[in-house]
Amino acid sequence: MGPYSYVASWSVDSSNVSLDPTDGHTITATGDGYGDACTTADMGSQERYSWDGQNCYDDNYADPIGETDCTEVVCAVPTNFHQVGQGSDSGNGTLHFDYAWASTTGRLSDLSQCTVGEKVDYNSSDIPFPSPPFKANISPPNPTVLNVTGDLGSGQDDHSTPGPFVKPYVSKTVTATQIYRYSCPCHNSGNWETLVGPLSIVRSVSQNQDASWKFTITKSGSSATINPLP
Amino acid sequence: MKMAAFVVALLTFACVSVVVMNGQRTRGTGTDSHSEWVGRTLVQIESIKVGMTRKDLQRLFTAEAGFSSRQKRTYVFNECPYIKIDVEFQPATGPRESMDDKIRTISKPYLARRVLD
Repeated sequence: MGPYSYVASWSVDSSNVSLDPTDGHTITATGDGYGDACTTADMGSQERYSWDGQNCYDDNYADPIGETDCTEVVCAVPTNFHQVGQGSDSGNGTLHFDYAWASTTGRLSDLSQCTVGEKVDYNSSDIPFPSPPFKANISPPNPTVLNVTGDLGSGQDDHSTPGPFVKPYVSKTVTATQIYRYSCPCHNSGNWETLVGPLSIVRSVSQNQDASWKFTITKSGSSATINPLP
Repeated sequence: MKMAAFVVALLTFACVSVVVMNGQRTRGTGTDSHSEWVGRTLVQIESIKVGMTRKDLQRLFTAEAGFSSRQKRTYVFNECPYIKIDVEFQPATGPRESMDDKIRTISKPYLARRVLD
């Protein structure tokens, strides 16, 4: 609606929307609740006159000048969270993933109040990581929680393992459990909602058939490896 | 507050010890040498300025693992991964993270556990 060349008086039939200012050529409508709301721009009325062949006379009827338009206030949340391409080995045993998501309204900017992120849980018995074969005192935050703002629409995730690995090498596996999730203040009181997961992040040191050793990290069917370990 | 000070002191000691074990610049393990190392480290960290590129940053820091965006990422100091900064970038051209991305903001350095993800 608008802008109008004449200053309109604006009103709305629902508390779902507030208007600021309420008089003007153009105003801003803000969603305060969820549901329908009809906004009216009132620019007064125009008196109707007729002509009887000799005189102009008042029809005693006024045509209202204005417009009403209805809209629905919705809560935008992230949707279609997905992995972009395959996970890749970015060297030194680091596994890299790219992710992207969209907004249920079709506009990423509507997610500016939302947070998209991950939560990674380790078994408490794996903290610190068993050494050998892992480096001593590897104690990541448990859970590991990292977020980005929702309106970015994309993120990346690197899974690393600090070296050097410690001899004598022994077969050992550490499995962490990851979820990707979002929080929007307009949805479910801002509580977290899972987008994807749980996913297993599996770190293994194992022996090759030729008696050498290797490290492999695997998630979602992709892996990175250090083979052989020095 | 006392606990926080203790953690800072402990991690500083851990970082300095790593440097000592690696045979790098620091001599001794006394309080003076710790302070000297931290002071030198701060000067290095403060050499990273807004307007520099991701490539400039990565002379001293390494991108931390975990979920992040091209626009904002945590970096760990190469000599001690418990020392971190949060950096915001103005993306250069292209869809992916680039060494030409420009630094927009830099947090103060802080201490935190190392993230593996």
